[in-house]
Amino acid sequence: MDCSTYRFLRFAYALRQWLTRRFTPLGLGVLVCLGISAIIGMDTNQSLSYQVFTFLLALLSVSILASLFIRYRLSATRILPRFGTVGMPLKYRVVLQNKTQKPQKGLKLMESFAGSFPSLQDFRGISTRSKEMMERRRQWLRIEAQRRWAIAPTLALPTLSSTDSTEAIAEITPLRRGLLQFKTLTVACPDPLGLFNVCVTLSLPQSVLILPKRYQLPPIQLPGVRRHQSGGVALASSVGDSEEFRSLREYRPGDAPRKIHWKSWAKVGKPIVKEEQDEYFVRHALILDTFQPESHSEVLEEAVAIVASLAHEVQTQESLLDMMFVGLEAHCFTVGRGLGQTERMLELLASVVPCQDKSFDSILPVVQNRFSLLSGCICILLTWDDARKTLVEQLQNMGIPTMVLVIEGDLFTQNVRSSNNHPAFECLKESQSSVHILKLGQIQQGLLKL
Amino acid sequence: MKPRFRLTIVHLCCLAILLWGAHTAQTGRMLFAIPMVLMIAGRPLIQWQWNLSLSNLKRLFQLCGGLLGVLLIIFLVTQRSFSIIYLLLQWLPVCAFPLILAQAYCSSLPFLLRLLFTPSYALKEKISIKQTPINLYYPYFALCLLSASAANWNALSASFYGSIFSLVALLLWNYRPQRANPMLWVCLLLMVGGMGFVGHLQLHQLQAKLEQNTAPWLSGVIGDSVNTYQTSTHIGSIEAMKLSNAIVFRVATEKRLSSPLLLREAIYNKYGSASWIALRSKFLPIPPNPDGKTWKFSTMASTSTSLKISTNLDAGKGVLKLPNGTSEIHELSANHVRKNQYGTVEVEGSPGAIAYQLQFNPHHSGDSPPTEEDLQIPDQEIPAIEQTLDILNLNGEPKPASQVLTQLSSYFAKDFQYSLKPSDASNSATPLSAFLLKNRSGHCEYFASATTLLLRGAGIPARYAVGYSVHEFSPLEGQYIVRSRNAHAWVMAYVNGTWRSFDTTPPDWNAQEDSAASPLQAILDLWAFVGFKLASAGVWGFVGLAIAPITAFFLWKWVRKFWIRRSVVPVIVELEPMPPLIKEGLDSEFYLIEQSLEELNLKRIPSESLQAWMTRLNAELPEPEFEILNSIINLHNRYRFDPQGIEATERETLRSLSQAWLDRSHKRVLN
Repeated sequence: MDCSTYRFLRFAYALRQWLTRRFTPLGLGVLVCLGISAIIGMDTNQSLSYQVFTFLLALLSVSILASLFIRYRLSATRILPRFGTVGMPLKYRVVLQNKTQKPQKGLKLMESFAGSFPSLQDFRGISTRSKEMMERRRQWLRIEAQRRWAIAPTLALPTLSSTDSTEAIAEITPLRRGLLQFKTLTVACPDPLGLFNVCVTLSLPQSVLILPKRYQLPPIQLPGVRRHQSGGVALASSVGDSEEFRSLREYRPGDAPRKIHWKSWAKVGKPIVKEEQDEYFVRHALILDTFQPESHSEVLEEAVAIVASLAHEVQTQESLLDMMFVGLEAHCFTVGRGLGQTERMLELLASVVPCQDKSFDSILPVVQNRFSLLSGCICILLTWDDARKTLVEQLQNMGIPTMVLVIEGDLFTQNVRSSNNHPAFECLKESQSSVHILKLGQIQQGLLKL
Repeated sequence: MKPRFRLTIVHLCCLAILLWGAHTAQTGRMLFAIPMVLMIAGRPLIQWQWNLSLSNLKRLFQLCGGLLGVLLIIFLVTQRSFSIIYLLLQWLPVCAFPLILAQAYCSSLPFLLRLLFTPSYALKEKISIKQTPINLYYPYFALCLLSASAANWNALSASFYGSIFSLVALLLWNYRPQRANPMLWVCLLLMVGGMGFVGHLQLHQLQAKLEQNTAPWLSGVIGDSVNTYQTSTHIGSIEAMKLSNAIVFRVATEKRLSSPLLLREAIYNKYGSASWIALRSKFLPIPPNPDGKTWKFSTMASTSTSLKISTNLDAGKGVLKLPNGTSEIHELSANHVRKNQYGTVEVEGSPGAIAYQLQFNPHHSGDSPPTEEDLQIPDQEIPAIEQTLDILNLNGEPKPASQVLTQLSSYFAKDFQYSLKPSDASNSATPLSAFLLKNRSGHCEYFASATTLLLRGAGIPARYAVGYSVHEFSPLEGQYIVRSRNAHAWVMAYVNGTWRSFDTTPPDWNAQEDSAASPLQAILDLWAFVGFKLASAGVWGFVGLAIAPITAFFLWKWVRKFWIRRSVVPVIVELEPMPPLIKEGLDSEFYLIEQSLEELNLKRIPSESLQAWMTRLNAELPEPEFEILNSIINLHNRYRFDPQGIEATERETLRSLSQAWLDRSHKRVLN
């Protein structure tokens, strides 16, 4: 039953796509009128709608027949940028080569993307989640909207000359972060009556990475002082203060063999080690909560957008920023002081997937390992429960100033309501720590108040 | 230089509205069309702009929906037939006109509409989608054409096709692709026009042919409308008959009827497989009298009864309900009236309510004389008929017709029962033989069919008649009402050289069916009566119906207001005494000092600040006193104006210092 309904929905989607490609807006209007007049004009004694019906039927038939005589060939290449951003127009060039002897004018270009239709698993998920028909429909429409990769309006192409290649600037608006995969490029040419399109579809699979959407942030002063970075920084050449030699001293058990000063040993006859100045600098953590049962949620998207905004806006010339999250595995990515690039972090964020199979506790070891290094921490949480409270309390106990941003979605409301466990200020012991609740739909306003 | 005229969609829309108005000119829709066109076409001459918000636009949609709803109610009340769909379609341009008016006078409407139809995800993400604004003229243009086509306009069907062709061609010309060759375009369009024209003629002919071949069967299946060629009875059906309580027509008589009046619709003469057929039925047109409203079927008998029938002509044609022996019909608005040899009368005219008056004499039938078919009995029914005739002792020598009728009448009345429930006919040859010999219970079709065949067996020509039994007088309406469940079947027997109605169904059948009426029947009847009256009243009825809800609304508002005024008991709320308004610092003792200084002619000038006053006093007062006064003023200022106020000890200091100062001052004055 599920499978056949899904097939029907898929067929309806494909039909919709076909109709919008194959018919011009005027042609679609004629098609709709044809259907209506067919219904009204069923009885030719009752009305004259059958005349409208026969006329429109003849019109569409002649249009389709005339379109059979239109023939043209062309090739195309897309020149795509490296990145795009959700909600921001993405412009790219399309180079078209007319392979016929005469110039082609009045052509239109249409793009299609892979993976724009929800999968059977998504559909089955809806069926198992809710039994009510209306609710199922609502959820289906929501998933259909979520799966839509980009808005790609039809582009009117300039006249394609017979000899030269022609360049056109296309523009799409990405709607989802991740790898946007272009599938085919269709060039449509209307028939002489302007109702039916003759389409040439070129298979041009290409992709572009769509970065998460970013919010405007006020200048954020991240709290915290310099912390000793144990073991110096192995990456000292590029990160941290330059490695300064301080003195020589006798070897004590436990000193690393790499610190032995071989020349002095040779001179003195007993092991001598180098002492170096320790590394102190500011290091912040950016913890992204990805733990949720759903495969897709608006709350997670908002959380990723906030992290992307923070990663993009926070100045990292003088400090380090560790972004930590658990996707399929635990990730920790460091940028700042010349190490790593914010772009790379955004790329990583573009591919963040929710962690559905683990609990929030699985991020704790990753964070705990870095407690001694951290000067401050920003946690972006999807909800508020005991596990999350534990993390914040541990950070507080370690004296790490923490800024907690909780996004108020359905899960948050559920948890807070069921356990009466509101993210209270009582768990904040650090004077510089704070908790902010950001309402879904008013994230920008909430962030501006930080 | 004059600007070049360019045909736009607005002009095309105006032309489409005119076509719609002209097409339905008979019903006065041109009166709507002309102002509509003037309002749209006159837009460039009017400076006024309509500022429409999104919420107003939604209200505008509601207004259009409301107009459609009102029209639907009016048509439901007045028409009650399939044709209301067409009527509603014809009025759609009027319902949608407020939107077009907004399109013409509100420049922001296309963008508002685009906003209204923007996908929710784009709105949520505040993504601006570059899409063309929605222009309502295009759908309205199509709507006008379709509405114009929804009316039957056979007289000018070729010109209608021409108009549609021209308007669509103009639209397509305006939006032809830039690569289209104009010559090729014209050729293709002419080809389309030709194909469409031939196609529509073929389609019309095809339907006519189909109707000719299948109408006798189809109309029997489809429903209420009577098939004058054949009727399928429910004889042998295994389902109980379900009849509707809806009022089908009304009969006004000069005096109350003493017995039920049978109004027949169609007459058949051949039975077979539970169906009756009118063999060799031939309808001949009846010419109207010069007044165009009187139709004469036969010479009027000297004693004839008059009655008036009000009914509905569905889809512009139908079968008249007439009593046996109808000689004349008056006041009938119809284009064509045709009658067959058995007395069935078909009529064609405009759809809607019709009323006609008729003269009849039941003893003076004008139906054709009996033929051989009127004596035929189907072979499979012969055994049961023979057996029954044996029981009645009618199988031998022919007996007088009146005796046969009496015998049959009493036989059915005594030994048979009326029932709408299906009977078991498993062991019998035919359902009719099971009815006659075994079950002895059934509905009117059983009785009528059996009687017809029995009469034929007894040598009396008989035919099967279907129609209605008129017996329910409505005190509300002052006339007889006939419901769908009053549909009946009986026999036309040829007795003494004339056809007369003969009904053997037990007389309690009416009572049995009336008992199945709904308890809400009275309300439904009232509703039906309102509809009937409105339909009779014509335009004023519609106006009344439109005004009635408004009047009812204001009445309700007035009653509600009055009732609330009377029913609400004024509640006296006991107000708590207001706490005394305390103005901090007004009780400062400094004011007493000020007063005493005033007595010493050292009054503070109203425009003078305390500080300036103090500077002036510095010369007048001794140094220690001045110092104390200064500290008092400082305390007073804080007590009077500092939002934080002063502490209790400071207040006490102020009090004591002031008192001491006053005492000293008093002493000085006394000294």
